[in-house]
Amino acid sequence: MELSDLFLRARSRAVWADPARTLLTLESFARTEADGGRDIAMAARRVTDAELRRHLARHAEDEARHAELFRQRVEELRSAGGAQLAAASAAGADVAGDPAYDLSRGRPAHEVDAHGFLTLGLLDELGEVSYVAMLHVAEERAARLFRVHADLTRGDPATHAIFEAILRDEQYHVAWTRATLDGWREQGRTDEVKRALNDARASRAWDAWKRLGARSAATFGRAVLLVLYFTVLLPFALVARAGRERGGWRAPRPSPARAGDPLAAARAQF
Amino acid sequence: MRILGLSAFGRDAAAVLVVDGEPLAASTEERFTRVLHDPAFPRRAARACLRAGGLEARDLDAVVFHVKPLRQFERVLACQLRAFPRSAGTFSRSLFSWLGDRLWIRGRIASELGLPPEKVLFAEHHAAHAAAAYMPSPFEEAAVLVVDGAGEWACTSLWHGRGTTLTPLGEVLFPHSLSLLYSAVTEFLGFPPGAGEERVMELAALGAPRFLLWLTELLHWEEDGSYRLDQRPFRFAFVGERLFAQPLSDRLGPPRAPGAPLRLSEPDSRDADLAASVQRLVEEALLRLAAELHRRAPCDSLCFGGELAANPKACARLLRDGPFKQLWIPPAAGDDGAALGAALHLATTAAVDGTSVRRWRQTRPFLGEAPDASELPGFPLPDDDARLSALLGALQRDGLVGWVRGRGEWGPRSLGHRALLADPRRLDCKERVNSLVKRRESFRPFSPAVPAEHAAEFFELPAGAEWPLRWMQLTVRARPRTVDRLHAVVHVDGTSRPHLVHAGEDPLLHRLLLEWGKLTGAPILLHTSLNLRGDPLVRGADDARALWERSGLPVLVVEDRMLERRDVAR
Repeated sequence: MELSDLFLRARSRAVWADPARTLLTLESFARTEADGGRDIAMAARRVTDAELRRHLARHAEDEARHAELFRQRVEELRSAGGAQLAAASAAGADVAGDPAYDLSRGRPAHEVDAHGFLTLGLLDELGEVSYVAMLHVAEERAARLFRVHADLTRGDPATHAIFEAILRDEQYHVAWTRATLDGWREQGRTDEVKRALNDARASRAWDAWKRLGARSAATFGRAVLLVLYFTVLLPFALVARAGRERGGWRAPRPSPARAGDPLAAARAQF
Repeated sequence: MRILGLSAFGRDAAAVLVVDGEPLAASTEERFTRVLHDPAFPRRAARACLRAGGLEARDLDAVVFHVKPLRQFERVLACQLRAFPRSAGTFSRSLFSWLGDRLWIRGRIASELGLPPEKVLFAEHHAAHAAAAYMPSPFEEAAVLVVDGAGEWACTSLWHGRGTTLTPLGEVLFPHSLSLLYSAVTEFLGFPPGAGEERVMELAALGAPRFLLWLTELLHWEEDGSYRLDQRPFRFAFVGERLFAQPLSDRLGPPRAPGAPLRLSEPDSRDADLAASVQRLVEEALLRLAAELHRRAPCDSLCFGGELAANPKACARLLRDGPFKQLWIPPAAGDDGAALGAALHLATTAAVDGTSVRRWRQTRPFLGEAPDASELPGFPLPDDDARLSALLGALQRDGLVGWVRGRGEWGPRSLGHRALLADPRRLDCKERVNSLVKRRESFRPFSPAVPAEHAAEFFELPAGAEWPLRWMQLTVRARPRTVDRLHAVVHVDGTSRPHLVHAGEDPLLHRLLLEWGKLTGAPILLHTSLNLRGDPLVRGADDARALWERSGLPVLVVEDRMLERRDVAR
């Protein structure tokens, strides 16, 4: 087992122990699978090779079905777990889904459509070989993630069954992408396939590094802001608390627009 | 003058292209990303608008954002400081996003679009809403009411519109927000704030307003017609957290968890009663505000904008019991509409190139993209006759049909171009629509489409509602024969929200309804948005096909193609 899988397992255990995070995670899975299905369906309509089209079309249907399975499970859990979820909600729990899964499927969230998978129409951008290579790398990772989640949900047979069913599809996804890449190698496109796989893996590593940087910076930045809040801003806060919130009608704030220079007003951010 | 209006980071990010005062294209970002109410920067919507206008970003004279970011930041900062030290948790989170991103919106817009920063301008949020509500209206003079969540500081504002001029009359500042009050109750009832308000309005019909007295005590009315909202049960200042506070739970019991069973009927009708109470409270508040607005701007016509304008029941009450004789509501009344308003406001008041423009009068709500059905498989339908015949056949045989054609709707509702139509006579109509496609909560009603000239036969139509009734913005009372024969389009309280179809504006849908009337005796169809639960309205042929694949919809017509499923129980 890889080190990253150990981290994933530790974090995922906390996810499945918390009803609210469980729901958000399943919802994020549903969203990501649906996004992926849409893009792969679009790719299936674009490719000219009949065999590749057939694989992509089936792959897209699988992703759409997975999304539906996750959605249904969310509905079931919501209906069944009212009180527990209410408690989590009332506590104002700062819950989050499983960003590792979203990000495992393609590119970081700020570069993708619909917070998950691939930029729609990525096939046009990458070309067939790079697209299938990227799918292959993403599906290998997804299969590993789902294996971890399947293991951790054995106490919840309905959710576990969903992961097991999806894992079977993921094995097919990994297999058909590998077979397609092998086919291209046999056609003498070995270098192209090798480069595409390397690029896909390098892209994932680079994205992971950037995510780590962004998260570290965010954590550090928030810590600094918290220190400022209790030190520099303290006197201002005391003054602000002493002031009363204004009720009643207020005359709109004078601005250059009202003084006859609307363009100057439009340039101002205040 | 070519202006791109943008809204983002609130609810419903959107882009609108306005050329010489007339919108050529508009879309919300959600239609592209498929994330309902997506607040993300609308880069895809902006590109689509430019594409529709045949423009590059460098051709634009200005890009105008729907809010003054520094003034909004001032409000966020001041409210966080007032809540010291309880705001410790949210301070760093909200400030981080402001300092890291939103304060630099001018640079971000400029770099996203490849424009010089000088071309990026800013509108006041309520001025944008007021412009969206008044400028496209048919009125030469009107009073304008904006009731919104929170922009910079204003939550409610009064305006007077005359010609191309909008004059501010007064505003109530944050945190005294009626819209956020409604959203807080929406969240308390387990629906997403900013998206579930319509469900609360629909739920209200099932309850009695037994919490009205308590809620009324939270709203203090001043002699000058303004109000203050008691903040103790709410947490509006805590950005990114829930909107209600413990006192609300102390008074009403625990909040409903999302998806948990609703408490709808005796002996425990808490949820329905709370919905009825907040609905009534907001209606009464709007009537008071309208009275004050009429005193300050004594006109016959009212333009109503902001998030609360998307509440058809409150709008109906405003017209019925308020001082104004005519009402106009923009089809996109929320933050998506603010993108249009910002651009129209700039076009009519600032005149970037020194010229003045005429007001654009909105008569149709279709500003989105048209679908390209050329790659769709399916049976070809070469002309309108073939399409109508296919639609009528599907309705008679299967009871429902999806129909995608022409440019998409601007605003949250389907108005015939991204429509799911169904036979409202069938006893299982609602169940069938829900089980095969919509999957909505069973208490939620569906709306009818009816030819305008036949509408009075089925519904009690109020005077002065010509435009809101075109765009499904008012609830009206259904006549007894409608309740008896077409119950699928009548809510439990005997009201309905009809879409009146005019032959001159949508001849094809109008013809379909008349033909349906010849076949069945009643030219009415159930008409709802073509989308699955939790998804935005479909945009193009790909979305329509994805919906068809994921749903049990028996027949889908996309422009000149028909997809038909053979294995559906009739």
